[in-house]
Amino acid sequence: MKNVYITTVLGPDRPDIMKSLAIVTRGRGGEWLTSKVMKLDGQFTAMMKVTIEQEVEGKLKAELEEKFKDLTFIYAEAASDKEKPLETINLVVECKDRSGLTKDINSIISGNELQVDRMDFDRYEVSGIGVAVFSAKLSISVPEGTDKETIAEYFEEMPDDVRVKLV
Amino acid sequence: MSDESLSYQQKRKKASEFDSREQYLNHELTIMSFKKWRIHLPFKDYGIEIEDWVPAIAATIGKVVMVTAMVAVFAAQFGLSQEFVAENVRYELLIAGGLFVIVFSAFLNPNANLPGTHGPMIPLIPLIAAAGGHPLALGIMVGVFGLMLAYTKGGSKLVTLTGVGVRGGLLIYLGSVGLISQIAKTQKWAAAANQGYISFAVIGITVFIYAYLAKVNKRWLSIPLCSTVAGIVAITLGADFAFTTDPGLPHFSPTYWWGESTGWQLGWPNLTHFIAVIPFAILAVAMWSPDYLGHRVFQELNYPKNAKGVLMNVDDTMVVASIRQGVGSFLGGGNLSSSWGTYMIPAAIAKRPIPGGALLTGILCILAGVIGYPMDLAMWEPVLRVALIVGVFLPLLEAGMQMIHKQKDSMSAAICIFSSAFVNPVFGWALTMLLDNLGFIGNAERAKELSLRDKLVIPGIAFIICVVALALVGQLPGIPAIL
Repeated sequence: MKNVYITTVLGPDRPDIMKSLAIVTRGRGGEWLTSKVMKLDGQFTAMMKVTIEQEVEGKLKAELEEKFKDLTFIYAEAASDKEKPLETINLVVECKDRSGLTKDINSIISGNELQVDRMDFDRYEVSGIGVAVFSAKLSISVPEGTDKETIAEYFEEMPDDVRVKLV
Repeated sequence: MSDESLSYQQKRKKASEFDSREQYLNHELTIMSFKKWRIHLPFKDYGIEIEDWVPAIAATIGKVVMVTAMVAVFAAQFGLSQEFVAENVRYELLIAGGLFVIVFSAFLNPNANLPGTHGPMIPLIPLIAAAGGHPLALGIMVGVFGLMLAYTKGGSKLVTLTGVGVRGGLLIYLGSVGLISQIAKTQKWAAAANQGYISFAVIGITVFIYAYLAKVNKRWLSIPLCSTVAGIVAITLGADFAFTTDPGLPHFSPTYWWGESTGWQLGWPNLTHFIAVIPFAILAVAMWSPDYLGHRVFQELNYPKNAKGVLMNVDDTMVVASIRQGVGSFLGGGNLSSSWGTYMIPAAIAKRPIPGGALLTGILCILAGVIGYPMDLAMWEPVLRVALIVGVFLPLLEAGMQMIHKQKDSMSAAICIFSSAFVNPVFGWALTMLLDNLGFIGNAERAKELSLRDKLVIPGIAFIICVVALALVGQLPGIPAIL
């Protein structure tokens, strides 16, 4: 049976520290459901929501503290150790085509920690005026009860005129 | 009483109540809502504003030019006269304007865009004729495939099946071939009168005007502006022009147009004709989906966010275009139909919905067809060629190049162009779509996400149908016809 808990890590920053922590976690069969990192003046703080088999949890914590002696680890129970039921919302994002659009959309997805189940995008020429328009269809899993308009607004904040429709 | 239960007339406000004209037009777009297949009347269900004349005039000019170009290419293949071209164009203006634009887009279904002309197919007409194709067979097959696509709502699916690289390559090929062909025809026309300098001046000035319009983001003005300037420059430099088409009506009988010695002088089509046109009809309809979707998205981006009731319905537009295609071809017209871009784009920019301008467009098309003289202007060589260059082929080329962002897509585009040049664009599209979806070329990541049906079954069937049909009529280079 899997357990879910929050790990807070703080200490001196160094290159690839988050990658190193992730490798050790995955090596024990654990997974980060979500994470947030803050760096300031050579120090960093990270919070991760970790899910791992109960019997291995202790071994993971011990290994992390052994391998990263210069870091401080604080553990807390997650708000609910059962994951909330999810629902899927489907969005269509449309705008004039330009370079960097998929990068912008991916930034919004990662910045807001959205779980995207599927993303398809396409470009259509507008005949007669030599320009193209962009259309992306996204299926996003969100906790039940999430305000769908709020999710749509994340994408409406993109530069240029964007139309976002909930379907 | 809730806002939703109020009629358009009840929700309407005067333009003077708004701070700007744009606010008034945006408000108009948000209060109209159309129901398909019910009678909608002007001033009761929608308004007509002065801005509606912009798309109406642009669309009429575009329509005359595009239908003339299409019918003229057919006529050149079958050895038909200029008088035939003029009469058939007149016929098409009445069919398009009187019958379909007014009846459907102005009255019965104002969410259906007007059925226009499939400009990108123009360079393929010589290939269709060489393959033994018959215009009526082609029109019927396009209509049938179009209805199938509309009823199965397969438009989006078809777009998903064709990768960006394949689509971009096809647009680049058709745009380039068409562009070079139109320039050559302009030069040939001028050279025939020992006035080669006229084509140089006309094309040269067109390049500058188009570049300027692109810079100020007013490409939609290119057909009326560039073709008007082309006509003025040609006349000024001494080109010969005369009004030759008198007011009148064309023959209305399909038996006249499809007679052995009248009209097209081809008679009715047989099975071989239908087989010959199948690959081209498939390609024509395959190109519909991105075209229609592009128009819809462009319209939506130009309208206010809550203008939902006036948006173009892609499936309804396909149904109307398919019916228009079948009926128009049966009656004797030479047009190949698609969503009317020279209407939709200025209408969207002018923030006007479909029906008001559609009514005006229909009236202008009927007047142009009956009066005759306006057609002579649009059919005159320098005007016609420049309109096609700036209105069809240059935009195709630009759009195709814009779609190629990644190296993987450029590989698919290159293969598409190569195989189109090797056999024809139908073969190029079908082959490249198959290879692209299998992951042999192009974006392998995209290919992994496709189902077996999308990766192999549908592209494979499309490729086999196209190759077999082309082989049967001798359109594979070096391979004799099987039939």
